Amino acid sequence: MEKLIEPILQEIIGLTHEGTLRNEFQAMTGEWLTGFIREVDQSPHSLKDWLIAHDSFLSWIKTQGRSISLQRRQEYLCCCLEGMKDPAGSLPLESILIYFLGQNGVE
Amino acid sequence: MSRIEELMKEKILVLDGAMGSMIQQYRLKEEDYRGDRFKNFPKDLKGNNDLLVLTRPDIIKEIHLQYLRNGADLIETNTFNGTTIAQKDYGLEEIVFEINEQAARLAKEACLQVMEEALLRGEKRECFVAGAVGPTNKTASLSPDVNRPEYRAVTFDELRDAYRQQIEGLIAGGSDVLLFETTFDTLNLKAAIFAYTEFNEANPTKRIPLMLSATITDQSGRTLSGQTIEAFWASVAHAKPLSVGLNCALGAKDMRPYLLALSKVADCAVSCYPNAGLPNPLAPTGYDETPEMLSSTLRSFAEEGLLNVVGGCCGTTPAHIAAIADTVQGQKPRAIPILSQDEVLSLSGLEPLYHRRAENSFLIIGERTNVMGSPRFADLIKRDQFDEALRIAKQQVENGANIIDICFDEALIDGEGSMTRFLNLLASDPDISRIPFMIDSSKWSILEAGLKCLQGKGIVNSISLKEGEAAFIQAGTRIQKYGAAVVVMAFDENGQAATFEDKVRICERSFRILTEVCGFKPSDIIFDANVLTVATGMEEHNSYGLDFIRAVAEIKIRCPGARTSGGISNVSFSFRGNNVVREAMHSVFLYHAIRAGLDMGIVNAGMITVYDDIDPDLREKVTDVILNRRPDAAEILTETARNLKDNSSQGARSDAVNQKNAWRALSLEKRIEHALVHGITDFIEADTEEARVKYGKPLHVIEGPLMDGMKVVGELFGAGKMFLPQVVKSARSMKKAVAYLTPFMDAEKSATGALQTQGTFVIATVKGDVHDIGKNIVSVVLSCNGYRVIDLGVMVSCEKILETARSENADFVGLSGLITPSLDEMISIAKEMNRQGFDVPLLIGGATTSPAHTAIKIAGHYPHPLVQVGDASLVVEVCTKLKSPTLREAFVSDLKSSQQALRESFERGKTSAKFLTLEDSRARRFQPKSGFETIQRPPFFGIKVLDSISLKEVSEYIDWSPFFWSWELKGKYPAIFEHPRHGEQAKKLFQDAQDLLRTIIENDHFKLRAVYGYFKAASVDGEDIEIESPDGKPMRFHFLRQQKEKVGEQTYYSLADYIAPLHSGKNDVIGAFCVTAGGSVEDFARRFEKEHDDYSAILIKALGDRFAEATAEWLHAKARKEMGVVENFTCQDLIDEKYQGIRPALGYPACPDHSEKIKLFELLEAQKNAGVSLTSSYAMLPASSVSGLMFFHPEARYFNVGPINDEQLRSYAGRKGISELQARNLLAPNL
Repeated sequence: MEKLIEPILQEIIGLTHEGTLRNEFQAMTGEWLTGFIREVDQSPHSLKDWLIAHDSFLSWIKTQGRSISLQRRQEYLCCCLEGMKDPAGSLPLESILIYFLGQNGVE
Repeated sequence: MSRIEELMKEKILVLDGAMGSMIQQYRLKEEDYRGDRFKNFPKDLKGNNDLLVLTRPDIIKEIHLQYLRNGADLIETNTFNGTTIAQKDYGLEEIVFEINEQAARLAKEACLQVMEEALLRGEKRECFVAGAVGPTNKTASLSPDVNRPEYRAVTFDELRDAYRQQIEGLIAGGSDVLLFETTFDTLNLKAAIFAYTEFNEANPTKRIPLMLSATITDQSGRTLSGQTIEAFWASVAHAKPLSVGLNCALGAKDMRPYLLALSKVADCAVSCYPNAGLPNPLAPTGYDETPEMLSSTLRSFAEEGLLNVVGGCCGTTPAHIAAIADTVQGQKPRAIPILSQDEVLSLSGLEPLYHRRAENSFLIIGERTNVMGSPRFADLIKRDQFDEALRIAKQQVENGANIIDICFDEALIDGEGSMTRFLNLLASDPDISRIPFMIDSSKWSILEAGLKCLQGKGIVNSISLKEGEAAFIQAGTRIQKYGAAVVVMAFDENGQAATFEDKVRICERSFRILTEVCGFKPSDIIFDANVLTVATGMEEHNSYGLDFIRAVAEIKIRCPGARTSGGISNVSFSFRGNNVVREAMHSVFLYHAIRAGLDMGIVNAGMITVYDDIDPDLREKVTDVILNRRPDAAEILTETARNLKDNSSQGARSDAVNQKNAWRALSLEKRIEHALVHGITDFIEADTEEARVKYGKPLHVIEGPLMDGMKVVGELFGAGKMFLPQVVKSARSMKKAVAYLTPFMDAEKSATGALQTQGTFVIATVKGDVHDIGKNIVSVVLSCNGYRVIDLGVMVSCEKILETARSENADFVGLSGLITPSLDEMISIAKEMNRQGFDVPLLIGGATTSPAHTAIKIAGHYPHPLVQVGDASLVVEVCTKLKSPTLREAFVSDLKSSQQALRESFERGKTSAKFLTLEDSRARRFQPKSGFETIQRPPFFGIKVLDSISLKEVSEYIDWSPFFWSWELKGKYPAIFEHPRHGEQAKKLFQDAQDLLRTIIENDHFKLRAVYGYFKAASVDGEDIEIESPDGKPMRFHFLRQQKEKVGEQTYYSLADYIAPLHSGKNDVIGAFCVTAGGSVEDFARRFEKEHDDYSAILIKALGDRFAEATAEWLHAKARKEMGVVENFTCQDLIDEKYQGIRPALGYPACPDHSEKIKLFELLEAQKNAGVSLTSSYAMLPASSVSGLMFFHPEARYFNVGPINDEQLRSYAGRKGISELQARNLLAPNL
């Protein structure tokens, strides 16, 4: 478990919502974290890109006066990635997220 | 083999440049042209450049030397106008032979001089003379007088004679090869080829090779006489030239698409010698491209593997040729494809018609332009009303005829004169002459008169062994000279074949003679095994129908590659006057004959009843007669015929179900709305007729209750209360209603144009791509919302899309594509739209498109609104906003900002992901825990073909989830039925699909085919797999390795890791497969499209795709079993991929390079064995096809390769033997 969470916690340092993200990830099960890491590795983006995207997502949802769980955000990000069809990672994941939030919002 | 041919295999040959513009630089005067010899000639001779070989040979030789010294391997004689026809303008016909002979001699001298110069320098040069034959200044297939379309300024015979003389002179003077160039009228060229063939027959020892070159005159992509480049090649391929190519009129860049198209279909060398760009009076050469500019473009052609011979035309100089020679030096010449001789029957009118054996498609030959079969046509011809007679031809084409049969065999008609006149008139109407023609006569003189009018590749109907072998061989040989295909009747010296045995025997004998003696390609032979009349009352005639059908099947086996045809209406002569029974007989007969393999039939296009629509009782009785199932079948049918009314086709169909629902009591307008909203077609025509009477004008009906009803559909759909499948069903009802009103509108001369629409939308699947389900849905959605949709179909060239958009004043252009190579095509189209000054919105859609790619790669090339539409359901909203004066500005502004933001993100740099070096990622390759110990020996090595795969068995493997996704109903099967929003709709859709599935299975509407195999394999060089192909030669597949640095598991996968390495001592095995639901999917769908039933047509295509995937699943399960894998899975388990091993498709995440399919297809001989071919973008045709490799290792898993860096790109390019640029294009999505 430590092996899974450690690199995540390293990359969270310095992000706007460092505290929130730390708590969220530490609350996840080993199985979920394994799945998360697998999704990161299967994507063209680095772990840092994903975490930056989560951070931006939290900023955006805050401006809406709402909240959204880590799992739900992760699902949304995976859908964005699939919708953008960018297998080489030409765009930062954060930009992709902002694009789709702008076009579709989130339920 | 000539020396030139040998050299073409080793290098790209360089042709010289322009002669005319070089001569101009000498500023010659009249006296230069006259010389001493023609000092007192009565006509002006200035401008007659060909004459200079006699009067100023020094200048011509000097120009030749300049080109040769600047790198030309091949120089053309100065004989562009060296025919009696061209020289007639100067009154110098009599010295034509001398001009040509001297021109060749001069060029030869120059060659020898340069070769000697080289020898003295210690070098070796080989230089050759191409005897140049120009097109003359007359056209054999176009009239110069618009008021007399049947008139021709030159005949085939005149051209043939003129060319013969020119050829004789050029060969006498020492030409090494003949070059028939700058062809703008293919019929002129066919006359030249005819002359060449006759010369060779008379002088077999003097034969030299032939090169052909056509001119595409402008952006239409056609010759002046209207042919596409593919149609051109079909027309002249019989000449078996050394090379075929393009020259003149266009610069290199503009020539590219046509060169690309030609290189795909030509099984000989390909040449290209373009102009130096566009005319520019301010440039020294009169053209605007410098040597560097021209050679740079030609270099890219060479790198793409498009060239065997290259040079320059108008505006080029020795400096251009030097640059070209330098740039192609060392480049590999184009690999000349070896194309099957029997797979494709290529015909042409202005456009090509390909009949692919493996597709089992049926060609309709229109029969109404035949004086023997059509009293009306005969009457019009006798009364000299040829214009009216043309209309009959046009109707046949509009009703779906692929070919029309033309016959003037009647005692009171001048056969030769009528054939010539009619064909010349047909040539003036491109809507008719786009298709190939069948020249029908029992007299050779009439056939020949017809052949001399065809620029396309037609069919001669017919020849036979009636007069014996010698006459048969003579006829066959003469037909070959004209390049036509031939129908062979089952007649011999003893008369007409009536029995099965005689039909087969005679056809087999004819086949042997035509292929072995006359040298016909099997695909150019079409057997008509005599369709004879059944149910005549004579018992010995009862089996005629069955005998024909059986004979067709047997002939296909005994005469491989040959096609079969028949005059279908003969079968029903006994029931003349009773159209209901006759149409039913034709339909049933065709149904069974096509299943037996009948390739084409002479029918009345437009009067073919849908088989399923025949009254079941009548159909049963007709089938009894056709298949001779009972001795009293004819009597029963005769009795039935007496009782049936002689109605139109509708009368033969089953009675409509008489629904008594409450809605039938509603007002007329409400009934129409109900029918549209619910997609009910049963009463739509009756209600439409009632509306027509009530509203007075048919247009008012369309603009009134019909459009009101569709508006309701649009609103419900927009509100999410209707779903796509329902919308498509609604469109079916709407189309039926409009089709009913169309004849009335025509009669009132208030056709389209007066109809108000929301706008015109031109849509197409781009060139090289074949997928169209999504596009078809979008077309329907737009139609339902009042848009005039012009759907151009699949594999549509840029030129055609833009030509249509322009001619139809499109308000929108829509492009669709499923596979990644289509993205490049979309970029080209956007660029071209900008170049041509279009300003309409461009909408992009299809599985391969994305907002990212659109913003980053496409939008920058087109300054007007360019929108990626991910969902068919969104297209109307997008169009509405773009059209709205109040909403457009904000929409476009938002669009541009979001696209700009994406581009800026892209510019700033991509992901922060790091890459391992290739060496490091290889060091962390996947190493199976079980090693390669469990490798089983397969049941065979090599390939196996499966032709009769059970639809029922395969249907069990269908994965239904993607079926719903194609209708934009999200969810997994079967949970989707519980979806709160669209669960009910999903159930209805599924029910309709199940009904259609049952019909498909019961009637064998799809033909599943597969080819698969097992091959010895070993992984090599990191990411490649080398296999042993069936002929023992090694073949290598190239793959990639994951390189992006990972957080979790530290294994970097490549597909090659699942195969034992070469020196491991293990004998590993890989599987390969290609499966298809066949062209029968399209054929079946087309039947419904013709009935305006888009809903069923789209359902069929979606089911076709499902069947293809299911067949792949079924085959993979079979292969696993054969490889000794024991499993006990349900079909759902298989769909969930719980099995051992994987079957990745080339072009998808684990192996993203689509072009690897070429090797797969070669390995499996997929075209021959399964009838599946690849388009220019590596899409599979037919669309409902799946192919891939099979890895049997128990630890093999699917994965994404993901992004790679330039290091791996270079490694890949090196291993694959392609340039880095080519690799970059192929792997663009991963870079």
